[in-house]
Amino acid sequence: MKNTINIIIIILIVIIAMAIAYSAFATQLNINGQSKIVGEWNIKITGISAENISSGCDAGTPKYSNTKAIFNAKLQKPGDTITYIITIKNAGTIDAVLSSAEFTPDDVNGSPAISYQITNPALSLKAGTETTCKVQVIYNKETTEVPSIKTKKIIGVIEYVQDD
Amino acid sequence: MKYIKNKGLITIFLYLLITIYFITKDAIFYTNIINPIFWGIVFLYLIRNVKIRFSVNKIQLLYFIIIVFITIGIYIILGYKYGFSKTPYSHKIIYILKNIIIQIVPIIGIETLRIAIVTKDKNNKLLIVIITILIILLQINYHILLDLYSNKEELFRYICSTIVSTIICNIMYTYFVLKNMYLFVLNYRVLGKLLMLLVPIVPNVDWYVTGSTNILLPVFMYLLFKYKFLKEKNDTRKKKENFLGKLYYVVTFVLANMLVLFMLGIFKYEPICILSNSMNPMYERGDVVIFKKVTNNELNNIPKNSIIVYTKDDKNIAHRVINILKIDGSVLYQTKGDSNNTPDMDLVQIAQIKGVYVFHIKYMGLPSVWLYNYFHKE
Repeated sequence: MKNTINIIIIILIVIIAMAIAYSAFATQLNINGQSKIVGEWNIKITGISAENISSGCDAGTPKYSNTKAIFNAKLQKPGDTITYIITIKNAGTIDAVLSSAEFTPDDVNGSPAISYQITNPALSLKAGTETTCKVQVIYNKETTEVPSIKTKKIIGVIEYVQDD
Repeated sequence: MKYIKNKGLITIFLYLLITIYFITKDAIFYTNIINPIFWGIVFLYLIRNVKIRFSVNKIQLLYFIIIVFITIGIYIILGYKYGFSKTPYSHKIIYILKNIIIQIVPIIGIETLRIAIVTKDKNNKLLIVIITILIILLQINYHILLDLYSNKEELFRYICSTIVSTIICNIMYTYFVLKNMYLFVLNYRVLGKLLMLLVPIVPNVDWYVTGSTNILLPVFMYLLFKYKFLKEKNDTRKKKENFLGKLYYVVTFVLANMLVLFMLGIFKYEPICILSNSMNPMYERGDVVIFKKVTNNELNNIPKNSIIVYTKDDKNIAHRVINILKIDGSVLYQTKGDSNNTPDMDLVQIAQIKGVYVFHIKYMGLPSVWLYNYFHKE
């Protein structure tokens, strides 16, 4: 009986500790479903960098967690661009193939004059290798009036499945 | 028998060293080739040389059926609550077979070895503890641990969601083997892995749900077995102890489950920990805000000056509504932290709102703040 009490107490402490951690990490990006590390499956975004930033534009601080990336581009005038390079790594031991790369812009709070173009990552991602995905955020050249909102947030989710 | 025991322990220990060596050198070769071959050989050797009685009795069968139904039930409930997502595993026959060889053969080998060693000398507690520890160490995925080493927060999540439950599950498995429930352990483990490989969808849950489910389920299995299925000769005093014990376990187990469910937002009221001072003096960093979920109708009619809890970039924010706008027929809320000089940059859409502030508890979230600070001190 004493052993069982000890086990129950330990379990309760573990559960409380996890609840504390859950609250602390609630401010981080969610890692759900397929993007989780399952067994030998471990595909994740390992970095986002910005390049070709037009003068006066701000690439912000991109955030990422496993297969989800969020970046907020601030462009100044028509023709401005920022290119984000997302690096994805297959850190597991199973070869993978691209299932989907979906990017969703925040059209409610973002500028309608800002759009984006994606260069998908490599279709095949062998275990232990890396690939990149390019997202070019563009301020529409044809825009004649400059709106007050000059930013656009884009959320990307890149999913892979086992290569068969 | 002693020969088998010692040989078994030495084999596991040496293989653990080989595992650690290969994981740092060539994890893909180790996982896909060495590991399944090694455990396949161990299984065949033990089946030929050690008499393991794989007899099925009614208790094992009934218990197995109950646990499988409960596990599947939890799986479906979690999917219903959080939605399902696709598993990454291929469902072509050849890849199913490949995945089975890579992932299930090691399980069969490990469990057969556990059975062979533990059942031969059930009174040797030290041996049982050592074999359990070695099996736990063998099941830790060092490849992923090494990969996560540089990211403390990810590592912490992985330890909570996977390693802690691996430890607890293995203690339970050894206990079940000690109680002659080896077929249950073997079948349960194989079936669990098979489900993961064959079923094309998994509940879309985060690390906390995964971790707490994987911890509480084996504890439930243990309590159910100990007080419902285990037939032991008890005297009156033990029976009284057992009654008090049962009551204690049931209350504690229910409390642990309630805590998990509360944290997950199953109930109408849900907590969030405050990590900034933007709403000072109303509440501050380290307080816990309890908010109430609102109906679709209420979402469109949240009064000005209410405090709403909403998500932005997966962050929870609890700020005050300072303005209500209607754009293209949609209601949008402008929010502001009481101690901030300017309103929040983005308007809050209805889909982002989680609930409305009810009350807060001072200092209750301080451990979470400390943990957050620890992981973000740089």
